[in-house]
Amino acid sequence: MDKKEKDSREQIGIDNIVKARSSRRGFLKKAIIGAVAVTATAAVAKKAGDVLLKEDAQQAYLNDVLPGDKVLSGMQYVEMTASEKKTLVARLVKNYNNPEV
Amino acid sequence: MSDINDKDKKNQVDEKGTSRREFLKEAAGGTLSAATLAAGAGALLSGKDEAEAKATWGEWFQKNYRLMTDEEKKEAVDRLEKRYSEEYGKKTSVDSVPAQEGVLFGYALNIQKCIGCRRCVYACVKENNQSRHDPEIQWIRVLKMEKGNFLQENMDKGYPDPAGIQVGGNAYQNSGVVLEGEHYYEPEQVPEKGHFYLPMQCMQCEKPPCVKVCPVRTTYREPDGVVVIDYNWCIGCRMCVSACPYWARRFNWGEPNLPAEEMNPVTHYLGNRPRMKGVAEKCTFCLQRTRQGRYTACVEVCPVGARKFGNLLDPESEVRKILEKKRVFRLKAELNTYPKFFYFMD
Repeated sequence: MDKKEKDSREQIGIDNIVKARSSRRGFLKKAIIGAVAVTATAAVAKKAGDVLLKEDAQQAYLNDVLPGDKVLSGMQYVEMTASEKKTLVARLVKNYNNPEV
Repeated sequence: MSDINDKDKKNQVDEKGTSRREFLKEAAGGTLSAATLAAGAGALLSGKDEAEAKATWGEWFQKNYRLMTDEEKKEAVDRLEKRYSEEYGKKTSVDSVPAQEGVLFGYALNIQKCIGCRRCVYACVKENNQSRHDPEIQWIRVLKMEKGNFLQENMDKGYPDPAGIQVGGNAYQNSGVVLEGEHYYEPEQVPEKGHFYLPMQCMQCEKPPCVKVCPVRTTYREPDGVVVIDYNWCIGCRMCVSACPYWARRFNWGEPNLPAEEMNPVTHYLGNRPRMKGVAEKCTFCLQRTRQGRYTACVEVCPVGARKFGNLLDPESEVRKILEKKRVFRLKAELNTYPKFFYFMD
């Protein structure tokens, strides 16, 4: 194979690639590859996120709830006086259905 | 000669467009791409998020429940009933009964009577479709407290600080000391010697801080005094969880695990319908029951009758009688949240 022939074959190859890129088929191919890439990346990211969160669901819940035990046990329980109770009930009755309150 | 053959072959290829090898290569590539696309889409839409994936477009784009017309509410409820029935394999009803006129719910708990059996906790879990495991969500927490030391000689010396309830007489020390890590205590027998129990849940405040902080107004106070959440509108910001001074709100960190056979099919839109990952939830005074004139599950199950429930606007109701006649205590009165959950002693 002489040099001229080799160059000519290379040129044909390049032409084919350029043709493929600019053709409708080339465009569709790129679109499909792009869609596959995006979907695969999103799926991997989601799975990774799910696995990480799943491991922590119970622990995260306990982290939310358990500190409350200590705080709540330290709270003050205030005994209501008779007048306080009366006022509270009167207030609840008065304010019922009053959107201004 | 050989050059001519080569050229001929090439021309053949050009004329046909593709050789057999290229065709097979492209077909294999195409199949692989389609499989990857399908697997990716499957991973995004299926698995443990199945329930979420099944949510219809209508559910995603529905309005805040409060702003819906009656027709829209009916549509939303029908949609959910259909979905839950399919998902859990049993006929599920989603109630949308509004608050009754002239009713303001109130709750009273006798701390002298509570024996710490935690039947209320489990009844609540069952009734309100709470996640059973990973995470195990419970709306009611029962604090196990040590009783204060009672000293006869100090009986008449008065209280040294406003420490609250002095169980067992003048204790002269704060009586409530939670034993750390005993949130899920499981003793052989209750009540345990030297302890008393303090159940806690949402206080259904008249001025609820959780409602004030919600940026999307998904949580609000109903006319019957119950603070509710529209789970479909919740964005999971956890502001309400942080704002609640009674630590009564729970957050779904993972997709709730509710076995179909344990699911309670009698639900309310604003109450015990199955929740999704990333939303807050809490006690709603069993709306699905109380708006039908029934007691809450915890009141019904309490073996010692420590729990009382009723209409605060009715002077003849048990709660009003308790407020009138018993020694009543309030938690965090200084915050002016006006809780409608009271503790009392005989």
